[in-house]
Amino acid sequence: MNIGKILKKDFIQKIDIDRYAFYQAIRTLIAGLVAIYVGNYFPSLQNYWIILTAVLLVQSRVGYLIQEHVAYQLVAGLLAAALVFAASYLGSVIVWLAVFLSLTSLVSVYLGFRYRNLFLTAYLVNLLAMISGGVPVDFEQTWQRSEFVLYGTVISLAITIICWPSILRLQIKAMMRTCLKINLQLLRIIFDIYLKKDYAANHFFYEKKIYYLSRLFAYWMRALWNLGQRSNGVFSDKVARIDRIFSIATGLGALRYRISDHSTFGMINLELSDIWPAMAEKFKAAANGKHVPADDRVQKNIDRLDEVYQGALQVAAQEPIVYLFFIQGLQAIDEELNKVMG
Amino acid sequence: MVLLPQNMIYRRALGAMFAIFIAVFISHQVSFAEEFWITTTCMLVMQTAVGLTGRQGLQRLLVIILCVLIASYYIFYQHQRMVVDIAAIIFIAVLCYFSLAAKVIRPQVVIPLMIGIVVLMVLVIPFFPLDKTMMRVIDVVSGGLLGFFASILILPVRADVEFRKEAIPLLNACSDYLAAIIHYMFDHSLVNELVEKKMQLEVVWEDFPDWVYEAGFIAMLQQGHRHFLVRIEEVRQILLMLDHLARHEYDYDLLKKFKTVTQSYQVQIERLIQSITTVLTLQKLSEGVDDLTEEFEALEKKFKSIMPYSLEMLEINRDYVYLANFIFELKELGKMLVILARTLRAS
Repeated sequence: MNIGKILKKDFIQKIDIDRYAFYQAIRTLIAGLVAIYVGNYFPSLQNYWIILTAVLLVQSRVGYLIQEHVAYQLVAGLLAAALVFAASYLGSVIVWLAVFLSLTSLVSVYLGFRYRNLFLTAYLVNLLAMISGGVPVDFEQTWQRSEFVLYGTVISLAITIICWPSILRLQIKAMMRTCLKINLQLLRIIFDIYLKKDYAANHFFYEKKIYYLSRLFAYWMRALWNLGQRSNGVFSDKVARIDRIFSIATGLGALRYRISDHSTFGMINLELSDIWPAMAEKFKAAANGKHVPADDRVQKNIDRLDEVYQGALQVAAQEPIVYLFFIQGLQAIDEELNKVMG
Repeated sequence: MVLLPQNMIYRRALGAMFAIFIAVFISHQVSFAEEFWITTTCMLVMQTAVGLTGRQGLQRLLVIILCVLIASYYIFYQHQRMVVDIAAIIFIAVLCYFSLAAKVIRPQVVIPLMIGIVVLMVLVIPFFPLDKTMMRVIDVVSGGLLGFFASILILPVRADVEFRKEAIPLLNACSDYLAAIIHYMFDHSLVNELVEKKMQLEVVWEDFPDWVYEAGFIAMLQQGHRHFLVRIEEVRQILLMLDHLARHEYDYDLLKKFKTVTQSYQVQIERLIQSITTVLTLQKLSEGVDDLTEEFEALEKKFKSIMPYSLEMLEINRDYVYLANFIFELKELGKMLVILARTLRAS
């Protein structure tokens, strides 16, 4: 077999790269390299401000759309230029500098906590002001500093515009993929609870994980609803289904605190062990935009679980109805997933 | 004391203001290196979660010291400015990936990004002689300690007060969401209201006091707060499940038989949530906490009178299973809230 194919199958496909984080890293890299290149054209001691501003400002991600990112970055860049100038100018009179920087810190912390999306932007602008205030220079160099901050802003804006999946459909699809992956992670934790049987010992560990995934899902779902409204509802049906899958998945997790005798999980261990990989495979296919696979094993395995329920759990379990809801939930997830995959 | 702001945002903002005011003076008087290290480290160290000031502050300080040392020594061996700049950019790009992949939503400069920023500052801002590296480290330590003590001493945020304050809107949003679910179940034209209430809950959820989950949270409060938090999270999970079940297209004739009993149950749940929020505001309850026994029984009775009670029969019709699940979730919600209310009253 071709080595390339082996590598792709056994290695590359298994790497789970967070695309959003990866794109942001690429944007940072390009912004930094361009800033170094531009900085070389200005033989000045202050030219590092171009790099600092470009690299830090490109981290600003306010809003969901490119227009919002650009608008906020522009405002932040202009503000940074003004604050850097003022901090450096006031640097010679320590009382004024102390008052100035303490006020900018007050505003940045307030804005960051009041409007969470603004946190990083406000923090980084304040950081630039602090650095400038810490290394005061003469008026000419101060002026140059602000100028370089503006150059850095232009680079950051250009990179944001060029390296951004600006087509709304692509953004929505990427977000839907993220949400499906979060769904899969949640299911993995839930199946781990039932299969590994260490829930009692690691109670908070699991709860914390479920909580963080819920929170992350809520964040992306809000972004999806927000973008979905601007795309004339093209994806609204799929988005609603992905949202529903998450709700049902949390319901599946409820078994962990509704079953008084956890040893009954042992009776369905085999079936759950088969359902999980089949479900995971299907979720991954859905996240990659594929259709329902021809050898879909999920329903078949759920049917096997149902048989065990009918034959044994209904009699042996203290709370058989909870297992019935669990099986119904699995079926509902499978149905919703089929509809998402089309 | 009354004049001091109680709101966490104001306290944090004012705390940062005073700390930076002092930091600027200190850095002007005693700074051994560039004067921005004291102020910037002070701000970075103050980026801790509520109730974790000590642990996270010291953790951050140590990380910054290490970064400064390693980056400074790198400059010592690599004199070419261009190479140093490129190395700094590659480094921050890689850390940028990890800081985003960590998926932290709370307002905080996460550790990977903080490392990236510190290294960028050391490498990109013009060279500093290596023999003065220790002075830079002294500045960093001074700024870090100032930030550390400032967050403990200047308008500290009290974890227990903050926890109670953040839990109340959350419970109210849960109550509104439940009402929207019940209304929607009997009238599917109210879908917009349902989505709106769900979104409201998600927005309030952003302020969820999740710092309770962090390692190193105040030991004395940890157990009780975590228990409360896990219960509230379970309440939210039940609501999500109810939302899903309410969206099913039921046989209307079957559904309307449950309307009165379900709506009166929802009112009782609302009252229960009000009782919990009253306890959280440290006020006395005018009456005891209702354990909802009567309402549970009414629901159960109605269910038995309409639906087949045996499990085999239940599976015949999907409407039956979904409705049984809906009622089961409602009961679980009530039980969960009763436990919460009793725990609070006892504590």
